[in-house]
Amino acid sequence: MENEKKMITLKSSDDVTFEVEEAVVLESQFLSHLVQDCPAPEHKIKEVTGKILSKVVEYCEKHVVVVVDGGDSSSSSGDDLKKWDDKFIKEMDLSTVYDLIAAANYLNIQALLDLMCQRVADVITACKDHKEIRETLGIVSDYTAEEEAEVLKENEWAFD
Amino acid sequence: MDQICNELLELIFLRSSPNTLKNLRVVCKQWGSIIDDPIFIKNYERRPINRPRLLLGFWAHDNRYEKRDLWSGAREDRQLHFCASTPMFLHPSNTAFFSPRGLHAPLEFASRQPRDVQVSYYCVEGLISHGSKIQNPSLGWSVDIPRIDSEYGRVLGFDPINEQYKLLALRRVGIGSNGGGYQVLTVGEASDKWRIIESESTPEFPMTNSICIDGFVYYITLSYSTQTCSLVRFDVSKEKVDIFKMKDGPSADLVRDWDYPPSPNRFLVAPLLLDLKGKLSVVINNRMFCVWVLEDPTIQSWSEFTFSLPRGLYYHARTANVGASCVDKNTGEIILIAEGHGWYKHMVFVNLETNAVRSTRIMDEFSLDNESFAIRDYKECLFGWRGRLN
Repeated sequence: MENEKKMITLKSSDDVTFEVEEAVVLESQFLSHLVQDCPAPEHKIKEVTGKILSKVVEYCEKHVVVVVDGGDSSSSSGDDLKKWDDKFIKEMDLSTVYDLIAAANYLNIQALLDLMCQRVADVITACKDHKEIRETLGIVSDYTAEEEAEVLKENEWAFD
Repeated sequence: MDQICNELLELIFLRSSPNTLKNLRVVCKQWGSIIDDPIFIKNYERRPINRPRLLLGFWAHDNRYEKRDLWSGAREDRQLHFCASTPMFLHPSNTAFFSPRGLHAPLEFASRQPRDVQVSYYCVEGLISHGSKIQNPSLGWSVDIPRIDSEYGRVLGFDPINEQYKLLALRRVGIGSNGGGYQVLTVGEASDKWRIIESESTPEFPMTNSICIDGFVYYITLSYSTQTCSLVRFDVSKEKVDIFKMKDGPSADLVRDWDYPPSPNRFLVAPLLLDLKGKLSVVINNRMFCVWVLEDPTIQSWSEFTFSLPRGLYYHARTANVGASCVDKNTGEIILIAEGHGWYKHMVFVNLETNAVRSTRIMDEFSLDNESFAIRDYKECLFGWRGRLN
């Protein structure tokens, strides 16, 4: 069983390397195609920085264990995994979340993309109005005062 | 935020509530243009949802603003409130809150409701129709469409092709030139734009709730003079009413058991129409529950299923107002509300295919009046959203 595991090296845009098992790489649709198509031991991912790639690897390593263990009660059950996911996102600032969304989209890791999008959606939902959303996400409005009033007015339900 | 392209922003927006979407479009021009795109609206309404989406509606009085009818003394300040089994998808103005342990409502609504509250509210593709009101609990608007002369019933339908909601009003034969008949109004148009539909017969009063399936609204009527049942089908897009005389299936039970006025010894509850995976079904409760599923409306072929409630649970006229139940669209289970020991309410889930019946207790913390609630499988709806009504 052991020693069968094939190791693959991933290199970030800023040349940070990560050595991971092949199973971890298979969590990403993009990487699994890459690994199949060119069997080099090292793969450079130009679009992702080392900081973000380390998060991606952390996520994929955690999630791959669960799939291998299957129904085993020993390690990560669905509940534990959810707890781990919650902790994983709580410790992250929003700019990392954005980077991870872009990375998960690029590397095609659906579960990670879902998790991160949900995180932003939750942050947005917790805001009480558009001003708070701008403040929380650091967005500068390009509406003039008149335009904004007009858009707000459109939000009112009008009948007849 | 710059690293997130429009396509990814859409993924985030799809996870927001309709009410949040309203705020999002005011944030900046880029976001506004994403959300105002009709394709986004369509994607939003069709996004797959794999959570149970049960909506419990109940009538409640706001005790801070008591208002009574001058003559009868009846409370006039009641409002339809909702709470949902999933958080964050209803407008806060008409929502009770949710907690993971079950369905809850704020304490101010916890008092028992008077018996005069009539609750039949119908939910069609996210819009709710009750009395003369149409309401969108996702966006929080409500509009009154006044009754027309001699109207004694109305049903709401949705035409999925033209994406229009229409009301069908039933008018009884009145005094003078009024010969009764059917009239239709498109929701969103001026409230006096009722169109008359050609029909050979005058409308009979529905003996069941109405249900809208794939652009057709169905309900059942009983003719007291001939003692026969008819299935009425309203084609929402063509604005046409068809009436099928019922010979087989549930009709014998319906005619035999339906007494007028309803007596407690006959039907325990009025028969109920449900949408069972796209098929019209009639639920009749007579000791056992009997479910008749219409396999083919043109030749009226029906199949029959039966089930019983779990031990210790009861379903009686008080618990079961017409239309209190629904079908979970994900699982195809029929959901009923039944009463158990200590008047606790339970949700009962019935799977006709496997004949499995399970139940779960709800509403620990507040008591609802038996007649004052109904449960629905609910999907958010952006109708009444800007751009949808122009």
